Parts: sequence; structure tokens; C-alpha cells
Amino acid sequence: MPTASNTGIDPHVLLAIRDLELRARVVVEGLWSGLHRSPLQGFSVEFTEYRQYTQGDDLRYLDWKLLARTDREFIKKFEDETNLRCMILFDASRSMQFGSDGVSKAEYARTLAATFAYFLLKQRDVVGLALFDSELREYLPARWRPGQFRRLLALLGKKSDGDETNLGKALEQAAHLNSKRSLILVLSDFLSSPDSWKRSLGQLVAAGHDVRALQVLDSAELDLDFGKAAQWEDLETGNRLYIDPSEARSAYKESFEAHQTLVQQALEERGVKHLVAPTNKPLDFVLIDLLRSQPLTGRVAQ
Amino acid sequence: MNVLSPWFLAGAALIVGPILFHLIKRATKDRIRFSATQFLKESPPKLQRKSHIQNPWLLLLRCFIIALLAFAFARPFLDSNIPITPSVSPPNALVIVLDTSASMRREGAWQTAIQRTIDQIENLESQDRLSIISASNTARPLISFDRWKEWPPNERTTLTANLLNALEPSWQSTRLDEALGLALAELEQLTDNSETDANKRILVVSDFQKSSKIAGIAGRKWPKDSILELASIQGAQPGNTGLRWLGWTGDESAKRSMRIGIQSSGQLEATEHTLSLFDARSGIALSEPITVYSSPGDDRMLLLDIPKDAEGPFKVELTGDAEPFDNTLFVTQEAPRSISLNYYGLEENADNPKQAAFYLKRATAGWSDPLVTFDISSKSTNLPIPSSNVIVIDSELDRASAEAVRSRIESGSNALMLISDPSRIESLGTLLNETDWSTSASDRDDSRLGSIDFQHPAFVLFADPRFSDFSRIRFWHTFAANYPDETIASVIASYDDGAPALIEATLGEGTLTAWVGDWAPQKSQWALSTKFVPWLQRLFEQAVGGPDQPNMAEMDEVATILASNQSQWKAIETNAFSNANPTEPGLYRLQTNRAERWVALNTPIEESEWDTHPIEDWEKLGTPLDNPFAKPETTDTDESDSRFENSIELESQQQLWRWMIIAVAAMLAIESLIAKRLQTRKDGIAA
Repeated sequence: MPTASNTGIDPHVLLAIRDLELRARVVVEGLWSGLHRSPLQGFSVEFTEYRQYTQGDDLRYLDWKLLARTDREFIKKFEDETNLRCMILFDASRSMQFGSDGVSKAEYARTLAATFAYFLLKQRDVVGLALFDSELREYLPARWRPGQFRRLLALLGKKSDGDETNLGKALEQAAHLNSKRSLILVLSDFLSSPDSWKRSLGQLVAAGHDVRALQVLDSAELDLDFGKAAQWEDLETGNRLYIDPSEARSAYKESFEAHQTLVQQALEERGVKHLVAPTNKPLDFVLIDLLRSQPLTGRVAQ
Repeated sequence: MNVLSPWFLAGAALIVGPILFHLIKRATKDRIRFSATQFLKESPPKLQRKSHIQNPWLLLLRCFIIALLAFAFARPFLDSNIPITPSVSPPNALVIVLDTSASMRREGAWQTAIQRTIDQIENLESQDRLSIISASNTARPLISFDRWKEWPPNERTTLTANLLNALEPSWQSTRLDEALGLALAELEQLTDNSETDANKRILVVSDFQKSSKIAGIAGRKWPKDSILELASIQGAQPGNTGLRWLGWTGDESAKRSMRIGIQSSGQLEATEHTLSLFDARSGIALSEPITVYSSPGDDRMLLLDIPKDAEGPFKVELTGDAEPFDNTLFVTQEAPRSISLNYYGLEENADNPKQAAFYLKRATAGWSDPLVTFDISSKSTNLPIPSSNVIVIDSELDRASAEAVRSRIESGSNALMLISDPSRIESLGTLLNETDWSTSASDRDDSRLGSIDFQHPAFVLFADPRFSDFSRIRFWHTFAANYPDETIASVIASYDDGAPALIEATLGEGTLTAWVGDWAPQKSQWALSTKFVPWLQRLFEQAVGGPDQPNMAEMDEVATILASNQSQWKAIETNAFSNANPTEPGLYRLQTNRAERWVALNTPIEESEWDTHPIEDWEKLGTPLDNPFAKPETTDTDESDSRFENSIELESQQQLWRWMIIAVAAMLAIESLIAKRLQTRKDGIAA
């Protein structure tokens, strides 16, 4: 049986499934089964549900029933305390609609968002979603309630023409709307200049949010192994250029790498974890990377 | 080579289109959408690529197609020195309706009308067809299409002109609708002869008086593509005054006057007219002339006193009016015709309501024409025979009386015998000089008139189905008459069992009529029926020459009312009678049957009307009007016009544009093939 650690789910196969919920299930169920085989430490809130009583703990939270049954003292945490509050910021701008080999970045990111949300909701964490392009367009607050996942999927499935990306403004608005400290997952291609958003990002981090940046990129964006000599039109601005990829490739790579470095720097400076997700990378791998790299710490401290 | 519509050549400028498309096609077609163009640097454009024309041969083909199309639209033709073949346009079929009514006698009108007509004829080509119809009260074809065709082409104009020059306007009124009906029938005939492509034209040459009748052409079916042209003729005088007969005023004993109507129309030059009365035979003025003032549109009445001893006929003349044709009015007055009715029967019968004579007397009492004198005379045979009398026999006749009556009938009297009793049948036999007349008893309850000869003058009045119902009149007879196999008498009416009811026999110059049955109310309902008096009057009118006829009539009525087969006419100034109907107004002695009297014939008063039909009247009637009141034609066309017409003719003969359009279609097919092949090749390379 293939495990999540060695063979991922081919994004082409996964995205051929029309139902977004089913896609999320496929990824997450596979992930669960993989998790049993490779114990991961500290990636889940579940491990801190009970804790050995130590002197000075509030006796109100002592699990008396457990004490009576096993003669051991355990402190029971409140659900509210234990739950992770997560807000997914989803880039719905036009540049996300690009896809060189049949899989658009938007579709990939959508599945990723749904999968992550499903995963968290399975753990009884609360998940919210915000769609943005030039500003925040749709906002679903993070709640724990029946049907939240459906609402989330409906929002993700919403067709939108999108606009130009203004990540800075979106982050600013997200900071304004999320007063409680949460895990904020930014799903975007981060193609705009870091100068336009690093200030807002700094504010978000300063507000106590655990911000993770998941940069969804098409493989063609990475190496420009795509297209032919023609008029190239920018998806967002509509600018047209005559491009011969064979001639422009080396300069592009240089320029793009410089940009990536700048993005990396801008994120690192603010302590934001940066993950690159090319659209040909299996989604479960991305999810594992996301979870494995750093424990999710978006919860509010007691 | 020349072109007919050079402005279409401007369409060749559309060649620019394909050239542009071929230049910019590659630059615009392939487009790739990319998300991160900000990291891209534009590749240096290759200079020769921009000005490079894709598929130059295809471009050339496309340009040629557009140019050829523009050239075809310009309608080119080859100039040639070959003269244009004579016009192959369809022949003209022209029907000229020439107004010959009395109003065309106005000064200058007739000459103009004839000239107009001749002008039209001179313009006709040898293959054209002509028909001329004269229009007055009756329409008459002067020349038919067939007759025109029979004439040698070079003599047609002369022959027609001679015919027209010999023609004169009549004295009748105008009925243009009838003439137009005849004209349409003439055109229909053309259709029958499969000359359907001829240009059908009806030209009406008339003064278009308002009084002329045109309503009859409403709803007429006009042949396809036919045209109606109206050529209006005007006389020299702008206004006219005419005389109209209105009737007599006063009776025999008192002073008698004529009522004369004076009708003016148009613009009168002189408003003062005088009216004079003359004795027509002697020409002596009978009274002082009367001065009349009239203004246009007037229709006034004037009383003209007649001297007591004057008997007529008279002539009333209007002076001071410029148009003389309608200025004389002929007037005559005849005393009513009188009939002396000799009654052979008992005198007291006339006052006994159970006797036929009672009804006979009362039925004839109120007649004004003929004026009946009921004479219950003795049966004397020595009475002088009145000029026109009627004998009514209401008794048995002895042989001597019968002989006397017979001789009176033979010398011109009309007799009516009432066989109310079987015993009288013998008298009838004696009168007819036939012995086998008899009666037989009849046991029928009642009988009705079974068959009637409605052609008989006494019954012709009831010929109309509205009046021909005699079935409600019942008779109760105890006998029926039987006539011999050979008899000079004929049965006019018979009862429903076949027995004769009314018998008529001509004896010498007179007529004997016998009624089998009794008129008394207890024996029949006949004398009390509404049909009795009219029937009796018609029967007695026969004795004085038939139904009453007017003494004064308009020229239109000569043929319809006055004339019959026996009519003999004698104009006042001539001595001999003639069979021919008069064609001019005037006073005539008219002899019909046995009566002779004065008849005055006048010009129809409508012909004095000068106002004309507005053009809307013609439009309302649904006529295919071409040009209202045609102006004189301009025959001169300038040179450029004729050259242009030649060009059109040449172009329509050559029709080069058709071949060009075919060539364009073929080249378009080739172009499509080439373009498709190029496309598939390119796609193949791309794949």
C-alpha cells in the first residue's frame, strides 16, 4: 500500500475528480493512514488534551472520573482552549488562473485549501476562509458549526473572474477582521513585488498570528519551458509583449529567481514559514510539508 | 471598353483590406496568456517579419477578386461602331378615346382635339397598333386594331387623318365610361391575340366636363401594365351659358308661360344676355326680348309668356353668349290625344256596379292622355267615324250591327268585345267572319289566368317579375270559349284550364279584342284588381299610336325613347319624311303608327357645363393614371441623353457583368481551396 511518504497522489488524477469535498477526503484519508505509520511529533493539538497534574494546577480542570477509575491525576483542557483557529487567505486573482499543463494554479490551490480545511475540521479545529484579489472579496469567519465545511467549499467553488493581486491590502484587511490570534495560511503565487506586501505581513505577524505562506507556482513559471514565439499577454495587466521563449528563458530565470529570493527574504525576516508548491507536486506531500515543518501554533494560549 | 456606372469602381479601394490582413495576420493571431510577464523581456522583433507579406499569391488572387467585382458592378461594355439594332421594345397598343359630344363644338376645341389625335398617330411606329373610339352618349369604334393592321403602314396616318377630318362632334352628351369600357375590351382583344407584351395605353382626348359620366369605370379590371392618359382640350371661350327646358306654367284657358332655365359656368366675359321667343315656322318674334343677367355658377329660371293665339312650335334664342351651339331651345306643345269611346250596350249599365260598363267608365274618367269621351250612343250605323275611336261591345249584335262594326274596325277603329254570356260568341264569329266559334259549359269552381303573352303591348307593362303575378285574380265562369282550328284570331291570355281569356284579331286596319268572361265583381276580381286600369289604358293607347311619348326630348333620347321601326321624321324646313333618325337639334314632324306630331329635340343641358372633373375623380375610380392632363410631348432629346441611352442599350445587349460575376465565383472557390490547404499545412507544422 502506498504511503504518503513515498508516493504522492498525482495532482492530475486528483484534480480529475470534480467534487472538491471528495478530493479533500482522498488526500486527508490517505494522510491519516500514512500518519499511523510514521508518527509525527507535536503536529497536532490532540497531544495536549490531557496532561499530568502538577502542583499548582487549577483543580477545576482535574478529571475526577479518570482519577476514580485509574487513580491518576490528569488535567482536562477546555475545548475552546485546545482548538486551533485557522484562516485561509486564498488568492483568487487572475494570475492564479494560469496553468501550463492543464492544471491551473487556482484549481490546485483550491484543492489544497479544501484539503487543509477538511483536515483541520476533522480535528475539530475551526477554519475560516477569505478570498482576495485586489482586496478581500469574500470572507467566511472561522467557526465551529455544522455545515461550515460545506460553506467553505461553496465559497471556494465560486467562479470569479478575479482582478489584479494586491496582497498588501488583503493582508491588512485580514488583520483587521481577525482579532483573535490564529493560524493564517496565505495561498498565493506571490508574484507581486514583496515591497507591496511585506509591511502588511509584518503587521499581521505582530498581531500574534501564526502566518504560513504557501506559494503555488506553475512549473512553467519556474523554468519558462513553455509556449512559442508569439504575443504574450499578461493575465492581470493585459500587457502584450512579443516573446520568443527560447531567447527569453535565461533572462527570465534570472529575474524570477531574484524575485523568489526577495520573497524568501521578506518572509523570513518576519518569521513566516515559506513553502513552494509547484502544481505538479502531489498535494499530500505539500500538506505533510506544511504540517511537518513547524507545529501549528495558532491557538490562543491559556 | 467603357463603363455605365463608374462610381462603383470606387469599390476597388477595398483591395486595401486583404493587403492589410496579409501584412498583420501573423502578428496578431497567436497569443499566449501568461501570469508572470513582469519577469520577461521582450524579444527583439525581426525587422523583415513586419513587412513580410504572407502568401503573396493568395493576396494577389483576393485583390483581383475584389477588383473584378467592383468592375462588374460598374457594368462595363465594349464600345463598338456597330449601330444599335433597331429597338426591340414591345409594340405600343394605343387606344384613343375621342370625345365627340356636343360640348366639343365649342370654339377651337374640335380642331385642337383632332390635331392632338393626329400628333399621337404620327408618333406611332409600323409595328404599333391603334384604335380610335368616339365617345358621346354612345361609344362607337372609328378604327379598330384589326382595321389599322390591315391598312398599309405608310398610308395609315393619311387614312386616319382623313377619317378624323371628316368627323364632326355629335349633339349628344358625354359618356366617357362607356367609351373606356369599349377601349378596355379592345385591349382585351389584344391579349387574346397573344400580343400581351405590347405597351397598352389609353389616351382620352376630351374637355372632361364635370357632367360627363365616368362613374361606370369604377371597378373595371385594367389590363396589366396599361396606362391611362388624359389629354384635356379647352376651347377659346372661358365661360358659357346654356338654356334648359323646365316645363309649362298655366293651363289652356289662362295665360301660358314657358319655364326656361339659364345655366352659366366658367368665367363669363359678358353677363348680359337677351332671350327672344320666335314662332318656329314663320320665324316671327312673338314677344319683346328679355334681358337676363347671369353670373358664373348661376342656374336661374325665367318665365317666358306665350301670346294667347300662338300655337307653336316655338324657338327660344339666347344672344350675348359667345358659344352658339347651345343657345337655341326648341319648344313644342301638343294637345292631348283624344279617344271617343262608343259603347254598344245598355245605357243604364254604365251606372250599375254589377255591369262591366260601370268600371269601364270610371277607369277611363281620370286619364289625361288619351282623353276618353264615353259615348253611349245608339247602335246606329250611320254615325260618322271619328279619327280615333274605340268601340266597346257589351251586348249581342244582330247581323246588321255586326257588319257595321266590322266595317268600322276594318277602316281603322279598335274594338273591345266583352263575351260575358255564351250567347255573344256568335257575334264574335260574325265579326270575325268565322262560324265555328262556340262555347262549352265549365264546372270549375274558380279559375285564374294561366298563360299570358307578356310581349303583347297591353301586357308588356307587367312583364317585370315584380308585376307579373296574376294568380291572385280569380274568375268564376260557367262557360269556356272554343275557337276553330283555323282562325285569324290569336289568344293573348288564357285561363288555367287552357280556355282562351283574351283574343285578338286584326281586321283590316283595326283590331278586335275580345275578353271571354264577365268583369262584374260577382263573376271576376279582374275589374277591381290593380292591374285593370293600366291594362285598359295600354289597350286604348293602341288606338292612338301607343303609349304617350314626350314632345320634347334631348338628343340622347332620340334613339331610346322616340324612335321605333315605324318612325318617320321630317325636319321643319324640309318637306319629305325620312326613316333616318335626326342627328341635329330642331323641330321635327314625327310619324309613328297612325299619329303625327311635332317633336322638339334639344342639345343636352349637361353639355353647357364648362367645369371639369378634378383629377382626384379619376384617381378615386382606380384608373392607372399616367400623367394628369398630359402636357404636349417634348420630342427633342439632347445628344447626351441619346448617347446615354445607347450605352444602356449596348450594355444590356452585351451583359459582360454576368461573365465577370461567374469568374468571381470561380475564383472565390479557388481562393477558399488554397486558404484551406494553407491552414491545414500550418496546423500540421504546429502540431
